[in-house]
Amino acid sequence: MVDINFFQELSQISNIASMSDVELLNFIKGPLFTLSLFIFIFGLIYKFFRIFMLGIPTNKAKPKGSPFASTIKMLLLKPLYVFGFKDVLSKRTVTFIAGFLFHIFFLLLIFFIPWHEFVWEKILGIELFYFNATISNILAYGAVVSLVILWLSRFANPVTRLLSGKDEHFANFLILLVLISGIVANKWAGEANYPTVLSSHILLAEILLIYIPFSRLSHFMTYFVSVALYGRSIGISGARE
Amino acid sequence: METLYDSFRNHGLSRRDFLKFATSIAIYLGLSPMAYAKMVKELDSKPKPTVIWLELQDCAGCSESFIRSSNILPTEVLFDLINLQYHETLMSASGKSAEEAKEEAIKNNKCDYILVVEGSVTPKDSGVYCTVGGKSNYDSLLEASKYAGAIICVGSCSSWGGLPHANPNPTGAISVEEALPPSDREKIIHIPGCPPIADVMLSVIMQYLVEGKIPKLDNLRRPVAFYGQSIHDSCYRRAFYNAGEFAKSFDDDGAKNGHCLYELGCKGPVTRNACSTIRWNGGLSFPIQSGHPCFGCSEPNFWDNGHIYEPLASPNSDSFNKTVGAGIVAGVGAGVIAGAVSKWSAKKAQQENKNG
Repeated sequence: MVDINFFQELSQISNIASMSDVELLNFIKGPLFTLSLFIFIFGLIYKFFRIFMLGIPTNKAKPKGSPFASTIKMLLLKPLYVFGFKDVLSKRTVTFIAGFLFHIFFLLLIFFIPWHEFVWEKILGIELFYFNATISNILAYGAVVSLVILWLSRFANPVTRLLSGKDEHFANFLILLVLISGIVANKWAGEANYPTVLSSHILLAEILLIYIPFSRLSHFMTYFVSVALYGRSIGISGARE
Repeated sequence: METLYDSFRNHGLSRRDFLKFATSIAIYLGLSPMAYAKMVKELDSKPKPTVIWLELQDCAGCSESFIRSSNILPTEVLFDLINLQYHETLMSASGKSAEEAKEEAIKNNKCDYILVVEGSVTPKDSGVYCTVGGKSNYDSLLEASKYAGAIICVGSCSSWGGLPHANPNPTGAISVEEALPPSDREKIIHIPGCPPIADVMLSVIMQYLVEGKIPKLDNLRRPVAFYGQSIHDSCYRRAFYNAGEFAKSFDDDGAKNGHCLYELGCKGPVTRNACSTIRWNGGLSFPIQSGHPCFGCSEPNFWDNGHIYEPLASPNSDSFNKTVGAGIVAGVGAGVIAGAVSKWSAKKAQQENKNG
């Protein structure tokens, strides 16, 4: 059923220039959030089914082991495999460690800090565990530093420099802005500009939500499917096993 | 001509009392020590300001607040510090003589009197929803505002429309600024709040009296001295916000330990007011200090700005399931259709290649 109220609220976008900062905040966390959440879910599901419809090529080789066990093993251990390749790790230590830390820090920041807890409670209906302020601050600053290191390392390595396109740079820039605006919103004091700072943080997060399905950032959804298929594949055949 | 100082002395108050009063006003306004000397001199020599106080669509709460000014007694505010010529609730005259007093005050003090407006304006349906002395409040406002030196809108109703303006606004209530012609809007000072702090109202009147001009205002015509900071900026619980320590209910350990009320819906971060600095009842307390979140009563449309007890940063929607559900259904549908079409066209192309 079409939600008339939502479209009425969204039509306020025509008055955006004349809105006060509090009205703008209400608009951003109201109809604009609903719209970005819809686009995020729609885009991801669309992409997933688009890939799903391509089908999986049949492997006619006789399974050398258990494809199922191999799938589970790969899902659990794949992120750690790199540490087994000492010569690769020694050449790309910074990228691997910063990449590892960034992903962990960023995910924990999204779900498990006190200033996001009530947002998830509103969306999911349950209260999530959350860290204290000291750990939250370490996560926030750690995510910023590791992202900057990762971004710089893209330029330092001639291969990743060539592989990096506008998509990668824009995604890095956008995530960095989301992180910095979140830190500023938390620390801001004086001049009564909190509504603008908070609006900026939420708006940037919404832009990121909308951008994810149409960019390589959607790897977080396809990653597990891809690793699972890879695990299944080498459970059937493959030189590495 | 009776000055404020004369008035203090006539009521048995000392020069020290007068200086204390002038100091309080100067401190509230955040004036420099140099300006304080000017404040004392001007209050010592200037005649009491003539004030016409109109009550439009209101609850009289702002008047109640005003007469509870903390540094001076209500009677002193009303009868000694200002020359209150008209106030429907407080004046002794009524009916025709009351209206005549107002007309006389306007005539005798052209461009010199302060018009204080409390309540929203209701021009809808020829102003039938609020009339005084046979006139709609809209007409009364236009008549009194034309020759006013300054128009002080006290309370959120006169400043933004307030509670009467809230959805569905059956009386078509609007703010004073919306009701006045553009030429008169330059004279407006907003002192929003439900109600505003009495000392703030009094200080703004005194500042206008001393300086003879509209004080420095922000983009919503609020005095910067009192509305230049958010409640969050100067809240004594701010350290708990930064530390991520929140009360989750009104009686949990967080609430008992004075933690931040953000999760209980505190709108302090988006509310410009002096509650956390001047506080209420002579600096005794303010809502957050009493354990209740600020609900942003001095901000425009605060009644329609979401639920009072909803955390500020949480999304304004109760239908996430619907949004997520719609996204999934639409995504599956579009993905499957697009996938099927591309498969079909690939098959067709393959077929054509085979044939051709």
